Amino acid sequence: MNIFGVTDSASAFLLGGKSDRLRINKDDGELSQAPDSEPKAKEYFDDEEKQDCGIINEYYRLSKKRRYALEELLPLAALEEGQRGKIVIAVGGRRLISRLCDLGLTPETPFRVLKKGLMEGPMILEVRSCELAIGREIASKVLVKPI
Amino acid sequence: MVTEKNNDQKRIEIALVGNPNVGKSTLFNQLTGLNQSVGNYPGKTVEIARGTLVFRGHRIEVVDLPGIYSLSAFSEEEIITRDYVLSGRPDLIVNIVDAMAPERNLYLTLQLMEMGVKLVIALNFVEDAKTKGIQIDISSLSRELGIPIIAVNAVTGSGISELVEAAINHLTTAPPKRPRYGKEVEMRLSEISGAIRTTDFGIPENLSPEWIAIKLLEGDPIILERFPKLAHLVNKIKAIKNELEMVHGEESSVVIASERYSAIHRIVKSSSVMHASPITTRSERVEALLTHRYLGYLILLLVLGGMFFSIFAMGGKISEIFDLYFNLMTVQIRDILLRQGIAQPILDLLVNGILFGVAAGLSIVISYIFLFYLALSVLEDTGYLPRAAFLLDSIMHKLGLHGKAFIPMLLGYGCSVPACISCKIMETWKERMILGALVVMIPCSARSVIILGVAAQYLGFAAAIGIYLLDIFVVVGIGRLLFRAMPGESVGLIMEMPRIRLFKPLLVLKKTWVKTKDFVYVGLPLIVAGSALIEALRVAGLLDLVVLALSPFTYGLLGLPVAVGISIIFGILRKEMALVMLATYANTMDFSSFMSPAQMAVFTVFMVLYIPCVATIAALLKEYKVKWTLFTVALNLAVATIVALAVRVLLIPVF
Repeated sequence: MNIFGVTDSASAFLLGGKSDRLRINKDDGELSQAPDSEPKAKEYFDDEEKQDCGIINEYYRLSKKRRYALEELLPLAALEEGQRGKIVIAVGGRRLISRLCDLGLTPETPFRVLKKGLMEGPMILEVRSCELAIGREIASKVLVKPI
Repeated sequence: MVTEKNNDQKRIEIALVGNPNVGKSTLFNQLTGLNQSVGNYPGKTVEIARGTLVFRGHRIEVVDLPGIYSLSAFSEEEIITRDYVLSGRPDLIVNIVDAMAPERNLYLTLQLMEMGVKLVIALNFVEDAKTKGIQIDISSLSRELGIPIIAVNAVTGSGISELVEAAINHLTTAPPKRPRYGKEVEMRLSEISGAIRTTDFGIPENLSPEWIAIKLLEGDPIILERFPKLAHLVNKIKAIKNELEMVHGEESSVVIASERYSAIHRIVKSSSVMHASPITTRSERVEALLTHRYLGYLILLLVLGGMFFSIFAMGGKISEIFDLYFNLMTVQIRDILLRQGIAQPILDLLVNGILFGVAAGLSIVISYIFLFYLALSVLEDTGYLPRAAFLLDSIMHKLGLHGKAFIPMLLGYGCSVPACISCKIMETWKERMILGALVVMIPCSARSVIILGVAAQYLGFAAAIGIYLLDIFVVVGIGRLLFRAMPGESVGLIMEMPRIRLFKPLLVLKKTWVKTKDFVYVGLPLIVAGSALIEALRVAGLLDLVVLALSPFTYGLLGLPVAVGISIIFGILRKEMALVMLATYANTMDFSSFMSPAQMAVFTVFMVLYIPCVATIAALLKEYKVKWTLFTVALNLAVATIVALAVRVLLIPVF
């Protein structure tokens, strides 16, 4: 697994590997302080997806670069038609991350939600003056900052 | 495909590189006219077209590379383009850039600059960009990038001779220098490229060490495969990567992608004006309608319904006329051959075997395949297909696939051959393989003939619909099973929504022709060979034996009359022939005279699901490995037997 904003140690932790690396992170102090309030993102998901969302939040918590408080962020899938936002972090395989980057969805990229398909259908985003369709399952693996 | 470059100084090779949907093939057609050939890249399924053009005494070979967004080597198209660009064969790269989406298009340009190749940019859709509110200062952009930029209109052909002239003039100038990235990245790049320079890693001289450094830092999946000696550097690179990741807090490939995009953003910002609120154009309104959450589905239904209806109606008529003339011709040829005193067995082999096979093949090609490709090319060129994929994404998820998978599925109802070939639109092999196994189980037009001729005729319309639904049910079930059982990731849907445009009839016809030709080469020889083989068996008196040999299966297992063995054999060759052959063999057109309703239901279900026809098997072989083809065929046979058996058992209390 690869992600925006997280180094190997965090991935290893979440994949259940190399626990020694994890301890280094925990000792960081800052990282072990999980926000007390329930993150906004969680409210959006039903039970099945909660776990997925937990992973993104966890990744973000462990990430070295945290410009935003977790409460400010939402999964892309939670945004409504017409809402604007900025990409913060995505979780997925190398191929997925590479595809997102190639099509211009790098961290800090502003975008606008143009359409949301029916029945968990894909979303259409306007990014760098072109339109991209993104499946809902990918959209729920991307954490964004609504603006 | 690869032509050796001769010593003739005036012979130049130019490659076209660009994103999908930027008018690349239109430009290619403008450049080369009719002097072109489309072929598959050796050993791969990616098509590369070549053509020649003569310009002021220069003979220019133009190569149309596949449309790609990046050179990250995660897809076959990207690897092929990369290898070709680096092979040293092209003298110059013409990079086609869509002025309507400059940032995303220049991302590829930047990667080409990293490779250190000679570049000329053809800026397409400049006028459309203006209406959208994007105004590019071409001379400023050209200065910023250090690359000559020529505004072209691929449709009208304006700017094309300027483009060719610029290309020829820049054959000898030095390749452009890539923009500098952030300090942290540049520092690490020079560290790696320094290490590459000092040691011999067996890297050809035309590859820039800097490019290799970028690829290594990005964690490129194939660079180490190509240059195994670089493995000595792995530990060093890992350390450098970790360092960079600590500094930026991001995965190194993401860091580099971000650096590229910020360089592009800077350049584009300084040389173009983007209005904040562009006017809504007509095509934008159409686009909004096509993806409308309710009306979109209505339009989809109309488009697909209209397409199927017209193809089946026209195809049926054409095939009728074709068969009529062909039968007349056969009779005459048989007469002529008979007068020549050719022995009866050989005559049968020639006429019923080979000639019949050719006619059968051509009849499918002319009536159905050509029409299907025509319709598909229209949908493709207007940009409707991605919209349909968008609408159907959530349904395709039930199969573990995503929206794009609907295209091969749709084609499957027409003919399995184009359906198999079109499976390559899926990104990952896992998805391609699952889809390939599924599309052959969708009743193609030939199998629809059986459903209509047996189930609908004798069991009623509801039964026919029931069989179609049963088939969808089976496909969904198998799809889910395969998806669970197979390892590997599926990326999910990420695709560009190209703008809706009017299609160009000439381009559509050309595309259709190229695709149809492809089928003729793959499918026709097999149909002819199969037809000859069966005729040979018949002449030798072995056909009855084969039918008899199948009886434990047909009669014993499925409880069908022994005679249906003939349908099963012919079905492998050409499914719509299955019924005609059965009628001939049983000596009656009335199937109810020798089959009970339950038997007819079992027979139809089995025929719809079992082994794909020989042309489809050929298409599978072409697109997949032998192992997967065999698996698909075996899977079909197994599924057909199990489902037919289930129908037999379930129908016992009914009839």
